[in-house]
Amino acid sequence: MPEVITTPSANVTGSVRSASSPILSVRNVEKVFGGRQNLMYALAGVGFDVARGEFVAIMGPSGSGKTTLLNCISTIDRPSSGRILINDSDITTMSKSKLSAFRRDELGFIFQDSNLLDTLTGMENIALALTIKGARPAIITQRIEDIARTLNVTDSLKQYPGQMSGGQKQRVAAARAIVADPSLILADEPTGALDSRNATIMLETLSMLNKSLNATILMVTHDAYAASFSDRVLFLSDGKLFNEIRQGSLTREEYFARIMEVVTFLGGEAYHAA
Amino acid sequence: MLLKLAARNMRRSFRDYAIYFVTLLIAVTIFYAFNSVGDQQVMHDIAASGKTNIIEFTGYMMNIFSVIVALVLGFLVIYANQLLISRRKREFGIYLVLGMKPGQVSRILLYETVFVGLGSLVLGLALGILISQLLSFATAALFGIPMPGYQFSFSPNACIATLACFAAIYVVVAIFNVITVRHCKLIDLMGAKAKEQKIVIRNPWVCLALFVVSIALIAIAYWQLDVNGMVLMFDAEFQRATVFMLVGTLLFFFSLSGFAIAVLTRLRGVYLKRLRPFTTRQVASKFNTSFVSIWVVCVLLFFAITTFATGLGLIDAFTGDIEESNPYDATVLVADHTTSYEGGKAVREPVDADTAQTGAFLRQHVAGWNDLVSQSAQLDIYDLPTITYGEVMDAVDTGLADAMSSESIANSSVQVIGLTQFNDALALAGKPTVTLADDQYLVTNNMAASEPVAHAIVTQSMLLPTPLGDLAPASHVEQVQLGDFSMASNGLNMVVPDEVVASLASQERPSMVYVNVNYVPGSNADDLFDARVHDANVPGLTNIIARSDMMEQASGMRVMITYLAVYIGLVLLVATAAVLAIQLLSLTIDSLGRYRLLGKLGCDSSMLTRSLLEQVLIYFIAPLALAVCHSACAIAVLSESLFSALGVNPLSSIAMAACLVIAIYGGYMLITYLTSRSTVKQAMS
Repeated sequence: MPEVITTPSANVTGSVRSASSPILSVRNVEKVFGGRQNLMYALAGVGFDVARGEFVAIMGPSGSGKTTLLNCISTIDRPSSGRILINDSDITTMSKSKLSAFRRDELGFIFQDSNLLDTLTGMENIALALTIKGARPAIITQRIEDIARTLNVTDSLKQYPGQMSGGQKQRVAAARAIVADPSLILADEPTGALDSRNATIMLETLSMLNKSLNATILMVTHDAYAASFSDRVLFLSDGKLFNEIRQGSLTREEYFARIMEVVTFLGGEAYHAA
Repeated sequence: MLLKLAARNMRRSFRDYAIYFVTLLIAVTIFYAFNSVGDQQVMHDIAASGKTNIIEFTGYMMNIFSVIVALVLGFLVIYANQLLISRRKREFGIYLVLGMKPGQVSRILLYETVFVGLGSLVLGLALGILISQLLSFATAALFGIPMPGYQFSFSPNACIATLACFAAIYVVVAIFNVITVRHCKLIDLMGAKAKEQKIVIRNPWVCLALFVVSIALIAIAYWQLDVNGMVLMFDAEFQRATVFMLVGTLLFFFSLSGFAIAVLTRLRGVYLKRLRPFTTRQVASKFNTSFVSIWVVCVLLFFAITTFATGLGLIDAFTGDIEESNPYDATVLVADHTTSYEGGKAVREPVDADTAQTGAFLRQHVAGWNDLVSQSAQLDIYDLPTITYGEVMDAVDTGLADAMSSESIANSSVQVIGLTQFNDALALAGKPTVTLADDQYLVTNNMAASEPVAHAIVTQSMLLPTPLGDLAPASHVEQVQLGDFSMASNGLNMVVPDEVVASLASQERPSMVYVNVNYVPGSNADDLFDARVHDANVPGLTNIIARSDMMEQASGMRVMITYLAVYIGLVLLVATAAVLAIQLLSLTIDSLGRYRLLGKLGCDSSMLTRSLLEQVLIYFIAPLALAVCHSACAIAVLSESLFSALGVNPLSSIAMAACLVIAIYGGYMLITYLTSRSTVKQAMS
């Protein structure tokens, strides 16, 4: 199966292979649910690479398998077959305890509902990513202050999540994801629970993590506007990669329009299929 | 259908119910076992053979305390039930949304209550009957009698009491549950989860100030308790100590977590390690929301530990040296005065009785004296007009171990006994006699309170002024009991040469006379002596004390105090540990989302397990530690004021209290840890 499936209806920019070895390499991943009688392919052979410093969005309608794919990449779930390499380590064959260590050393997470611990202050929430790695307390404080300044959440450090706005919460969550300097940040619908103003701030924050801190980000979203902040969008449909768009030299508006075309097409196809 | 749903609910929330059920089981078991103590076969045998009513008294005391225990258990059950129910509000909301009537939901809850109630009652009674069999062996051992062959015993009274008590508790629980469901609005039920996660945050500076205040209050309470000495229970100092202790403890738990957070977050090197921030905040938030119940737990723990340790200590005080305190078969005690107490001062009223002639009177007037008594010896005790005990204590610059007693006896004259009579009494008790030079006296004593004074007299060679001139003390203190009594009661009686007594006898009658007797072997004097002496109308008679009565009384005391101390200690420990366990388990279940998140962020299960263990340890040990501090203070004060006067070493009873706490409290801690660990592990997979 080819790594990227193209369709004639959308403008395709070609295969993805950056010169340096990719941070994330997904190879022919399948995830099957159900028993012998009713096999259900949530992922039916997905493959792609994400290069160092790239900001990739995965889009697709509900039930397309994007959450399953993200769970597999984030080592919370295991694929039925295929391989996933992060920084050249195959996470599909790792033991459970190794996976825990791998998650805290290599991955950063941003969830839809920020998922901060409500009993901890912003500072402590961010620190958690470092303390569980066993970082030295002296370094922790300095590092958090730097990140907080970059992400403009210094005021939230002493607050509890209950005292923060939705946008502040998400930015603190972003700080927690980046603070331990992970190889890959996984964002699951990071704007899903935000109003449009806070969503824009959040997306600009992600963009900044990517541009100024050189973070590699893989974001799952169903929102075309959110996807337009990425370098590249992968479309997932019925467990397969369906299309891919790169921003390249396009402006944000043009890029957004391209994405919308594919979304519309996918929606129409779903309508015809139904 | 509803029945099925109830049964399924119980199976599914087995973890929540497990600790609740185990606690009910233990409560029923303890309640039955201790209420059946009065009905044990051994007790019946002793009651049938003995003359004392101590057995009835033990049963009576058990019943009185059972009322208190029933109240404690009632509150425990209702509290635990409320906690379990409030966590299930969402579930009830779903039932209601699906179209069930509130009555039907109440019925489900009712069935569950009945299941749990019946199960715990049946199993608990069975266990209780088993334990009560073991307790009858313990009773026999405590009475120091061999077990008269095993007999199965079942106490219908205890059974009915247990059934009635717990049935009443379960009915109240059922009513509570029905009211809870009836009074809940659907919107509240569905939103129950969001409501529960509200966290309480307190101003760190206020907490810091309150924490200091609480420590100060507790310190004042300790100081007031030390002033009071815990001998008088209801004076101003004791009341102040109690109020300060209660308020100080409440403030302590109100401010503890805020204070701890304020300090810990500033110690970043210690705080920012692994899951410490999470563990700390987790426990702190629970402390903040439930500081009142932790306060109650701490106070009850304090009661449990103090009751248990001092109770067992008192046994030694009352019964430790009962053999030495009763050297004769019986003692007839006569005085030339009666003593009444007015406003704490002893007032003597003279009685017209020729006390010196008591022995002769008894021989003449007691029916069948010679058939009952093989040997007798009379001890005349005279007041020495030339010196008081206050002057003695001043002379050797030593007081009694108990300062208040020092005051009350300071004005009494020193009591003396003639050498010949003293030697006769020693001979009757089968002890070697003593000799004295003409210018010597002998200090006799066996009370712990006056021991220091006795030794000071000998080591400082204090001269004793008498009408015939000064006497010098013999070189040792004679440890001897002058007549039968429930405890060692000889405090600083002086043995003097016969001439001194003769000169006193020409002026006054003996203020007190002991006639010690040994019975004719094989006679039924034990049953007859007391009544016959009473019938003889002995002038000045104050008491007739028989060794057998004293022994039985002592055994009875030992049984009663032991059972009461263990009963109350056990119930309070179980109740407090169960409350903490249930609180902590519900905390864990409410925090499963947090554990899942930590897992996603890369915490492995060993880190989570460790955090759980630390939470359990902190949550259980914080109230225990303060309770132990309070108890240590109370026991130290009691040791100083009471135990040392009674010659009791409280160490062994403290050790036993510690064992009990470790077993019960530690057991609950372990169960809580294991249950929350498996809950979290299950939620993670």
